[in-house]
This record gives sequence, structure tokens and C-alpha cells, in this order.
Amino acid sequence: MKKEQIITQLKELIEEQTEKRINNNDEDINIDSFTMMLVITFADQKLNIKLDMDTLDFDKFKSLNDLANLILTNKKKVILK
Amino acid sequence: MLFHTLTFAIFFASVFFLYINLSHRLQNRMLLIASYIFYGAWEWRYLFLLFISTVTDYFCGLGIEKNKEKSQKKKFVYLSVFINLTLLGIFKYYDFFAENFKDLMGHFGFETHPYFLNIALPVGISFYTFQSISYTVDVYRGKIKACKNFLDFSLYVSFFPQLIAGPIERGSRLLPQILNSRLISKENIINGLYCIFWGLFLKVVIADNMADLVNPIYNIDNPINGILILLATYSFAIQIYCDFSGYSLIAIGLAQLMGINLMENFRRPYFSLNISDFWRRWHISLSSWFRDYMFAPLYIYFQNSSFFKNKSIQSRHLIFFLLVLFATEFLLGLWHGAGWNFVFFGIYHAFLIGCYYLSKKYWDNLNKYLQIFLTFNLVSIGWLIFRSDTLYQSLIFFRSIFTDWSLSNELILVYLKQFIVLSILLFAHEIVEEIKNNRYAILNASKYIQYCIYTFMIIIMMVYGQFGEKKFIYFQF
Repeated sequence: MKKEQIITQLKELIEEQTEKRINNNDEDINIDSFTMMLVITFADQKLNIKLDMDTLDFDKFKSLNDLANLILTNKKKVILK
Repeated sequence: MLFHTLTFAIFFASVFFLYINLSHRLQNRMLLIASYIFYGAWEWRYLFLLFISTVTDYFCGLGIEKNKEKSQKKKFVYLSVFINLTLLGIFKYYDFFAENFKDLMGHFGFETHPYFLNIALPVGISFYTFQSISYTVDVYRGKIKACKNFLDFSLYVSFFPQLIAGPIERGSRLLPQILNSRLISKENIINGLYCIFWGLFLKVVIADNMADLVNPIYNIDNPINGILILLATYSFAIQIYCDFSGYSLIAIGLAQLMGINLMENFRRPYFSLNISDFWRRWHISLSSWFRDYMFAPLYIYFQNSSFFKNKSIQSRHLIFFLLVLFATEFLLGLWHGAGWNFVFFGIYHAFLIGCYYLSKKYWDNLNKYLQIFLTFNLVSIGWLIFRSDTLYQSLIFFRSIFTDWSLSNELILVYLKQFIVLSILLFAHEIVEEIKNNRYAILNASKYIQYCIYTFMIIIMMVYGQFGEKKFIYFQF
């Protein structure tokens, strides 16, 4: 799955959860723990990517781009293994 | 050695004088000695606990980095967590669990005589053990490199401005500032002095005067009046905030004078729109610690398990979230103290956060000011539980609030006046910060306005300030 597709799905998920529109991929989405955990479950169940605790740094994931990069980093790790 | 005493002022002035005249390496050594003197002044016999934590995590950090195998690295993490939590468990919780064990056995008709330690809680143990644990976990996660210099690492664990009551720092933030030479800029000095000044004002004027309203009510078993309890509870909400954020600000300010930036610990929590928002603004260093080292790993553990695999994403997420939330808040409550009221305080907050997410659609559509008002009141109920000596006392107090509303007590007017004046002093400042979304908003005002504000604050501090009389509340944790 390409980054754009991941971003589209994440955007849909987070907008539904927070009921706020995200206007661009670098916008600070002010993500809370509840939404962050939802992203973790989404990555596992929809994309079959298990997010590794070692790569999670809550203070660094502020935008859709950051989240998509996080998911792609973990995807690469799975492939390398 | 309390921050708001002459002894500390002399101590810090001496440290600062030496600091600005030493090279980076000697600054670190001097700060380490000063930190141990500072802690020793509280209770020198507990210095060995600080030393054990330091030695453990220093060698565990090196062990993690040296080993290539993840399973070997994990062993060092477990060792670090085990030793730190054992120390915490013995010195903070042993008597509590022994007492409860005795009561439980007695309940079933068995008489037991457990051994009680009956020792004073080592001050700051909950803070520095958590800071120390976060270091080994971060080395394991690859977020930071292990510190090679034992003395520099010792300073990371014992840095005196934040040793006793935080902010609980992370290796990734504080260690680089210790290892690299520091620059004291004009901005550091101005911001640092401002933080110290405002922190002192919060503590000696607002928190300690609020304490005079809270203590007489909470220290009696039979409450006199529901309205007085309500006023004392609101007063405690202000007191604990000013006391703790005052301490944090002074710590941040002292560190800034030495060119070290500590993390923000409070971001105007009483302007929170909901309870989840409250925990993102209150004791940020602790709540983010629990999020990073307990909540998220536990959630991921459940997520990676096969539990509820057939459920939808949303349902599975909600189930795991609530499970982990209650477990985390239970421990967060217990972190505050060895007492059931603290445990219940944590569970109460878990319940509120759970309710918020379940009713988020409705809550978020409420008027913003109503959200702030409701959140403040829900948090204040939590403070009633927190401040009570026992769960039973909090129940009696709750009952009085809802049943005894007689207005005849003349104390009510006295309490109300003092509560309003002190609240205005706090919120006049907080509102400006909140609107500007800047901790240093006052520093951007014109010089004339600033002089007026500082003069006013100094006069109030000289007249109403309680210097060195009352300890900081969070020292007991």
C-alpha cells in the first residue's frame, strides 16, 4: 500500500473519531492517546502491520504524514525480517 | 531544604556562583556534589537509595548497549525495573500492603502479626526511580545511547532542582544537556528568574494561604457544614495546583539559570475542555511517563494478542483502551500514595476518561465554557477523594455536601472572601497565559505594565507570603 493510500484511510479514520476536518497532511492533528491507540489497531487489523513500541514516540507524531511514515517504517521492518 | 527558605537561597547562590566560574566538566562535578548535599540535607541515610538506583541503571544501560541479542537486552531492562520497583515497593508500599494483609486475614478469622517497617518515606523516591527506569527503557528502545560516564549519569538521576518532585525528565532531553557544554543566554536568565518569581508567588501566597482554608476543614472527622466542605474542596483544587506547579516552575527556573531546559509540567489544567485534556495539561511529565512506559506497551501487548480478533476495529480498540486505562490509572493513583483513597482517585479518573470517550460526541458539542466548568467540578470531586485521609472520610464529606447546606455558619463568609481573592490572583495571570498560549506572556507586556505587576506581586508576597512554613504537597509522594 502506498503512502497516499495510507494517509487517505488514516484521514478518514481520524476525522470520524475526532469529528474535525484535517485540511492538509502536515497539519498538527493534536492526537490524543485514544486516537493513537486507534491508529495502532487500524494498522494491525486493516494493514496487517504491527507497530513496534520501540518506534513509537508520541511527541513526534503530530500529523498524518508522521503517522503514515510510522506505519511505513514498521512495514519495512516486517519485510526485512 | 525547601525552595522558599533562606537556607536554600544561600545554597543556590553559592552553587550558582561556583557554576558560572567553572568549566563544563567541573560544573557537572560540582552540581553532582551539590545535588547529593541537597538530598542529604533532607535525610542523609536515604542517599544510598539514590545511589543504588544510579548504579543499577548505569550498568543496565551499558549492558543493554553491549549486548546484541534482544533477549539479553531485555534481561537488563527487567533487572533495572525489578531493583527500582523493589526499592519503591519496600520503602513506600510495604507497610500499606502489610496492614491490608493483616486486615484481610483478620476478616477471615486469622490473626497475623506482620512486621512493620514504620519508616519515613524517602523524599522524591517516586520521582527519581521513574526517571531512572525511563533511561534504561529508552536505551533498550534505541532512543538514546547509554551514558558512558558514571558521574554524568549520576547527575542525570540526582539533578537537584527536579530531584524531589520533578518534572520527571527523560534521558533524551536531559542527558544531552548534561553531556554537552551549556550556554547561559540573556533569555535563560530572564525566563528563569520569571519562573522562579511566579513559582514562589504561587507557593507562598496562593497555595499556602489556601492551605489555611483547607486544613481546618479536612483535619476534622465530623464536618461542620456542606458549603464549607465545598469551599475547602475548591480551595484544595487551587492549593494543590499552585503548590505543585509552583514547585515545578521554580525547578524549571533554577535549571534555566544554569542553561538547562526542563520539560513543561503544567499547562493551565483548569482550562481543560474535558478530562482527557486535563491529563494532557496536569503533571505532564508523569502522565506522559505512564503513557509511554505502561499504557502504550500494555495496549500493544493486547493488540498483538488474539483477544477479540473477531470484533470490529472500533470495538476492539475501545475494549483494550478501557482495560488498559483502568490498569494504568489504578497504578497512577497508587503512585501518589499508599492509601485506598489514592487508588480510588485513579479509578475515578479512569471512569471519567472512559465516560468522556463514550459520550464524546455529546460532550464536544457543549458550550466551551460549560465544558471547562464541568471539567473543573469533576476534577474537584477527585480532589476531595485525594485530600481525604481515608475513603470513609471522603464518603462522609460527600454526604455533607449534598445534605447540609445551612448558611448560618459565619465562617462561610470569611472563607468565601479569602477563596475569591486568592482565586483572582491566580486566574488573572492564568487567563492572560491561556489567551496568549504562552507561559511567558507577561514578559511580552510593556516594561511599565511589567513593573506595576512585579511591584504589586512583591508587596503581596511581603505581606501575605508564608516563607518556609509549609512543605510542598508532592514531597510526600
